[in-house]
Amino acid sequence: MSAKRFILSLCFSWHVFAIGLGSLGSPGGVGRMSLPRYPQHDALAAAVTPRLDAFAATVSPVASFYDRMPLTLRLLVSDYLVLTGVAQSWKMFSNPPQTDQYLRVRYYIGPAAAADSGQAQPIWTATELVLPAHREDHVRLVRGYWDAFRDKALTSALARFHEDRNFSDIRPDTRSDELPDHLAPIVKYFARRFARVALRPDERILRSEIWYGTAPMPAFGKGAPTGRSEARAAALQAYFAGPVENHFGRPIYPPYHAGQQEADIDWVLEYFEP
Amino acid sequence: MNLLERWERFWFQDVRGESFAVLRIALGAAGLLSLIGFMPIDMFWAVDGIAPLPGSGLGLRGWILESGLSPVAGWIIFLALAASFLCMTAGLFTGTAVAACFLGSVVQSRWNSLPLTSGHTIMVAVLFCIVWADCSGYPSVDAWRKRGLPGSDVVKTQPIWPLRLVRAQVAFLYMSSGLFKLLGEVWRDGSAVYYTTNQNVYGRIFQAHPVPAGFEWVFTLLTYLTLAWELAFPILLWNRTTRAVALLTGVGLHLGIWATMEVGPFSWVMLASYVAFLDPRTVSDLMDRWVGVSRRALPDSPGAGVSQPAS
Repeated sequence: MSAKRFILSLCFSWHVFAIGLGSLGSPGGVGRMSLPRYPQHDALAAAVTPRLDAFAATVSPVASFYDRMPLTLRLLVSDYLVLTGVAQSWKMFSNPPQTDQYLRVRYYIGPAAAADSGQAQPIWTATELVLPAHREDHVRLVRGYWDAFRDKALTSALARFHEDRNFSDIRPDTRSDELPDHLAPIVKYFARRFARVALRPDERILRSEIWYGTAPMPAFGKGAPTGRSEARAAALQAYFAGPVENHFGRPIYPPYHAGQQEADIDWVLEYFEP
Repeated sequence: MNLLERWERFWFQDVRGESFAVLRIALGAAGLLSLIGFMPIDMFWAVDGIAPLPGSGLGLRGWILESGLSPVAGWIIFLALAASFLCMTAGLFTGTAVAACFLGSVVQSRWNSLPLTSGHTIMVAVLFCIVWADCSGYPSVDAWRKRGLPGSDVVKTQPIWPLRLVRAQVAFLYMSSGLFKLLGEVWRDGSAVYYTTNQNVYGRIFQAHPVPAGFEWVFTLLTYLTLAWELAFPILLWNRTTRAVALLTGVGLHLGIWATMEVGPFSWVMLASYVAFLDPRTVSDLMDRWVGVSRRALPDSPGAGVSQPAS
């Protein structure tokens, strides 16, 4: 073997080793191993699940192979993958969400004249559903392709926010600047867009909030309880027409992590500014 | 043949360049399709769009935002990347274009990682492998421009190792993905495909029109089929027959993902990477049959398109 081929062989070996090891070092938790289960919803699952549970318990140490490698080697692999741009994680859908997910942005609007003084009181609110980008009661066709990119950006930001937020930050009096800023670009982007098309020159957004909503999916093999999907569809219908404005009463800022219920959607206030 | 000779043959066997050219075209087209999805520009490319707040790294994004150049910078990066993928697909200034696509895609992941899917990750990883190869063979604008020049009718060969690296990359992807799926409870109890295809953010059809009761067993079957196929993929590659089965199953699976879920360009990038698994000699023969007529028809390129066995 020529010297050139020998050096190339070393490079190939290293690269393949690095991507192999790096793919096992994907961030995020690994599903908890449980005792073998015996589902009853269909015959195939009843036969296969206990065997796969036992098999998974046997091979689960492989998933922590990366963590058991010497730190120097892990750093070397990690630096190589980052430097070459080929860092990778293949955990997609390994633990798929078992709830439907929603994100809405609420704007509190008040007079522009008093906004800078910090004393302005909101006059009305508008609430915009931003996730999912499409109407979920429609089949996603061509437009859905573009919507998928926005949905991905929002779910990525939300995942990072949940990962970085400390448990101690979840209190009624939490200030905006105590929270991770992963959701800030989302609230700023949609607030700017809303202000451009919906506000008069003498109005300004005084506060914007991001609410995260979850709703149960029908359990596998059981179907949705009667009436639940109709109630949710009716609740979402209002959002599909655009931001929902509320001009009644005097809006009050809710405490951090406040909850609201709409049909079977549980909304939680995740982020706000200022 | 001893082990060393096997190793050398495995990585350094000379093959004709058509496989690299077809892979380049498939990846370029998938890259363009992917890029189109990152629109509108002000949402994904402007620093003040849906992108991480500036503040880390070299401070370039922060400076761009403060200087008011955010929309312009977004457009410049987008258009540069679009031009690179166009050139790559067409085979114009091929070497530079493939390198620009790789570097541009890496820059994109630093610029705004929020909307990027696994499709982008595999795109970068495969581009990294083929950036070292000569992908300018037929069919390409570069090859067409060189017709009639001395030596243009000589069939060029190059080592197979960039294709081998792509194959290894894809095999690790499936193996790793299969392993992590195996450790997920819903993949073991057969319900994972139901949850992924019925979820309101990712579902294409079933979130709006649920599958009638009594057909859940189809989801169970597909869940186990996907899991088994991903885990077995690297093993199936070692035999010519099982490799064909693995790839055909993969084509069916990715088309199924595309039909039932909206996850951006992931399926198309994966299918593009499958070109690396095709036998280079078969690809060359097919290309000879397909473009050979037009190549021979060129008046100033006599002999071009004559098939020669790979050395």
